[in-house]
Amino acid sequence: MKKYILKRLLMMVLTLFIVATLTFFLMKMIPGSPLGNTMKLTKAQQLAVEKQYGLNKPVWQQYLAYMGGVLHGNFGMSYQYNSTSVASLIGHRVGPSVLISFQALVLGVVVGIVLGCVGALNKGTWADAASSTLAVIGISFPSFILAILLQYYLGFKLGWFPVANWNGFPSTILPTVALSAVPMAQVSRFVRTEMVEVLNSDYILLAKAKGLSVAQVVFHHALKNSIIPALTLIGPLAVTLITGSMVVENIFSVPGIGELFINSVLSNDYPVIMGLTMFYCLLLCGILLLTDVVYGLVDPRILSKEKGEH
Amino acid sequence: MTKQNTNQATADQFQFADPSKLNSQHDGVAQKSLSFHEKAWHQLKHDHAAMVSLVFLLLVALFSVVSLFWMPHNPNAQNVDLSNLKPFTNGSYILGTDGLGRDMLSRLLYGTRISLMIALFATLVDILIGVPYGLVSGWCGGRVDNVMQRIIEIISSVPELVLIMLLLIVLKPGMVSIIIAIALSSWVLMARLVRASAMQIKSADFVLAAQAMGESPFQIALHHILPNTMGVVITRTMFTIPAAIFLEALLSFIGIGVKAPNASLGTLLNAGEKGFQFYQYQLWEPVLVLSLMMIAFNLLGDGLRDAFDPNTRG
Repeated sequence: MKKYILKRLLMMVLTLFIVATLTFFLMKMIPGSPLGNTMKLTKAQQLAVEKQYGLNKPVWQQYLAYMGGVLHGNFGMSYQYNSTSVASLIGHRVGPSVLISFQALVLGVVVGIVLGCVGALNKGTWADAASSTLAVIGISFPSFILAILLQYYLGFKLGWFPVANWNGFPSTILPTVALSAVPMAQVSRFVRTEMVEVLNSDYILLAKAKGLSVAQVVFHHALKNSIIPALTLIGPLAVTLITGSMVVENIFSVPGIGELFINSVLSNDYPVIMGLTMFYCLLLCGILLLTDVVYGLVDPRILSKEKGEH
Repeated sequence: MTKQNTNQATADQFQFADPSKLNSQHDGVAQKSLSFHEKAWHQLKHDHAAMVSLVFLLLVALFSVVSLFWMPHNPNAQNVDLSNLKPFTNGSYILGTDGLGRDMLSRLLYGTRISLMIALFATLVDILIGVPYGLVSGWCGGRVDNVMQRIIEIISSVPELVLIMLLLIVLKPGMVSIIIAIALSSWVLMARLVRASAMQIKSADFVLAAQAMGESPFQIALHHILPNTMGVVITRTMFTIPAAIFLEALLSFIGIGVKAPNASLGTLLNAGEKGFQFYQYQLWEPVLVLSLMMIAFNLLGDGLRDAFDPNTRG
């Protein structure tokens, strides 16, 4: 187990290094200069600004300087936000993103499990059809459209929730709901499939034969065994939430990293783009590693299978 | 709507077979033997949701092709006197007009065509990269496979949308860039599925037989492995296309996708959202087209997966 984790950590460092390198050179390939957008400068001023950001040096020196900085947790300065350091910019904005993603995850997983169970237990009835339909709509209906509709009808028309204005729990409700639709659908489909399989297994038949009530069978036996495989969903869910949070934050003006990323893409703020790319990459790798380790602890068979494969 | 036709029959489902039925349907000798794809098609035909979706998507495709030659109006012709007409109020503009007096129906037809084109080309590139990659990786195995898998791991450690946006910043803005960006970030999953499928088929007896007959590894991969991965490829395609449609809409909605005079479903959504307070139909119309297409592709994909996956076939 220790050897496995160590191997994965090494791979993760290598991945981050390669991603950082590729992003750096991608950013250098971009046509145009970050200075051209907002400022009309004289030649001398341009040179001064370039010098301040170290843009006048040869590319390989810039690369070494950047990578050296990254090793020390220094991701450079933002071009747009009055030269704040990228690290502190990301640090300040992680909170709201994590908050709505976490809330959306909890909401989506809980509702998803309930819907999946309802579907599996009533297989072939209208309840199953309803939960399956809801899941298909949840997966197919674009989350950013859901966000716009929620914002307009519940926020603007009915005035139940704040439309934007990040301020306390009420303002997190609509982004959370918009963000939770896809995880809800993914979890519900997964749980339903697993549950149908589990409910057909011998030990459930035995539990029923022992005279356990439906509730006992579901909670003590079926649910646990249907949810453990759902741990494999965490990776895809993380990607879903990262993608979803970008647009949802953009629509509801949540001061999070998703909104920051889109803004920096629109304004060519390369240091922030590079910093956030590495941050997302680290986040995703970390989540995947954590899932695999937890999965290995819960169900040791998986880990030995993985080991055999690699 | 995953339909799981499980093979296990529980005790209460057990019943005596009707001899007459047994002869007509289940007698393997009398029945004409069907190929794998014929069986899959046979099962798909009985999946109502998938068939309705298929018909709907064929209609959308037909309309898109027809719109190449004929549309009610020029989708870019502006007429300020007739701006923001509500749907069904003017005989000539059935779905109304937008803020610049452009016919909504024509713009929807045009936008759907552009969105579909982007999605189809992106999926084509995805197949052209993903299938050979997965095939080589799964068929060669060993060190080659190991290196190829590490590359895939690195690519998929960057969230899809982040990768697409990075590519879009670097590439020249335009449709081709969107296609390339979407394809370059989505082929990884195709490659993984084809690899898994190829590894499974590799140990089949007919591959051993082909080896014994002296066929070269290249021939085996092309004639025996590749055709047998087609079920996986077709199913995956049905999920790649809606994902690409979604990504294009998302990018154009944010403002880094299809640019102004051109219309796609994403740009229509973007325009509709701006005037949503006053002219709700301008958003609802593209929303309906987009979401119906997404739902149809997903239902068809589910149907195909059930039809092609022998494990779920009853």
